[in-house]
Amino acid sequence: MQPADPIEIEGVPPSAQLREALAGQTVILAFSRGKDSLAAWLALRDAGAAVIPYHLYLIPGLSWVGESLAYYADWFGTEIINLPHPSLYRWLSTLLFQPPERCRILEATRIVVPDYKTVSDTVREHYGLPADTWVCDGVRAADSPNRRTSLKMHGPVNLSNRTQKPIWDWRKRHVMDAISEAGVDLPPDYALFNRSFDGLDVRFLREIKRAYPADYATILRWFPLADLELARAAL
Amino acid sequence: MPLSDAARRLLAGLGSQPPGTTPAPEPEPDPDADRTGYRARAKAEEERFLRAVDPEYWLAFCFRGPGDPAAFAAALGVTMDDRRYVPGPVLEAATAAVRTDTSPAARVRQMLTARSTRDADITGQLAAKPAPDPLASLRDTQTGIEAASLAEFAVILAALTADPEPDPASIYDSPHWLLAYWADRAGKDAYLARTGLEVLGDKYLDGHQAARILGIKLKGG
Repeated sequence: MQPADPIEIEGVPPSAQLREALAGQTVILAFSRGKDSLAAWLALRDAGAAVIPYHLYLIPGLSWVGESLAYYADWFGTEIINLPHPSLYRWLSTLLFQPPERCRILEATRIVVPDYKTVSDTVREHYGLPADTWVCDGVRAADSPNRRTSLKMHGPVNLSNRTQKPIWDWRKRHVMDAISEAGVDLPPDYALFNRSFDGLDVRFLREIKRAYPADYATILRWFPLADLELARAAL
Repeated sequence: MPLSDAARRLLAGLGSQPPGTTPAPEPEPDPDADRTGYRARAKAEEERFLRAVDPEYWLAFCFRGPGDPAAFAAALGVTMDDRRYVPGPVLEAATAAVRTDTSPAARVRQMLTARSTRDADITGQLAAKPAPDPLASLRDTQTGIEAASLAEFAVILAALTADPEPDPASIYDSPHWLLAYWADRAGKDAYLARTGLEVLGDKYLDGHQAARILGIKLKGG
């Protein structure tokens, strides 16, 4: 798919050019189950790249996350390796929503928060891929002013980290059109939150409690005071 | 493998779109249109977002004994819910009559009082055995990074959900607590400043010191 009317930033190569250069290559994809990374997967596939996706979970064992990963693995016909998200390490190390009695345990655990480069290096190593294998994501300039500014300043390709953003200039309608034309479903997250699950705030927790009470209980096992989000919303 | 039947029912019941179709996207602000307005909206949205996801709107009063949280609540005339939570506005109303001197001299006195008892607590902590690292016992028997990561988190969760130590060396690790929450961080900070409790910290507070600053006495304490 070559979307008409993409975002243009002077001096920044269009994403079609990036995808063309990736044809025939094996690339890693940071797959969040969100619409943008899903569209990036479709675009890379259409460009002729061999995509190795990885997903990062925020909480281990959430049912709808696992079900949708299985759906995408089946739809694309490939394994999706599932690893802990750096945010999970960060939340635990900063004692997010933790009662006092858990603090000393988490402090004793001395959790080190990995960065995204460490994660992608781990994935490369796991698959025995060369260190220069590209890691792609679905980041787009139109997603936020900060991302647009970042793309304007640094471009969509990071040579030292070997990352690139193969749909950086797509607009939201391009993303939705690509998904619709491919006939692949968005995950249940979009029916619940209108976005993919990416935090422990009330926008997500209220809907999870309603739709997936067992998963809500799982979240509270990790972050017992997260139910404060619902309590404070009622103030 | 398709989405589960339950997920499809959910999609059908919650969304306006039938299952198997993609929801219509909300209009995206045009980044090429009005740059000034776009930036202003983005800034406002970012501020709203930060307020919405900032989790530092609560504090825990930590106590020595299992009956202390209820005694603290009773002394203030507030009721804890079954999770031992008290809404901040309820706590504020209950302590509105408490005449806390927030003059500089009083603050110095409060800080000294807090420090003297905290020093005693630090002595206890230094003498105490540190908590064992839950991961120290983990043996690398898993093959593959997925399984190894899951095994690591399973060990951490087991440690977190084990019965807590009933009388830890530090009061800040106590399982006997009462928790107050506000709508946002600013509400909590204002309460801490008004009452003078800010000298004790802003998240995990010694409940016994807090009782002294608030001028209340715990029954049996």
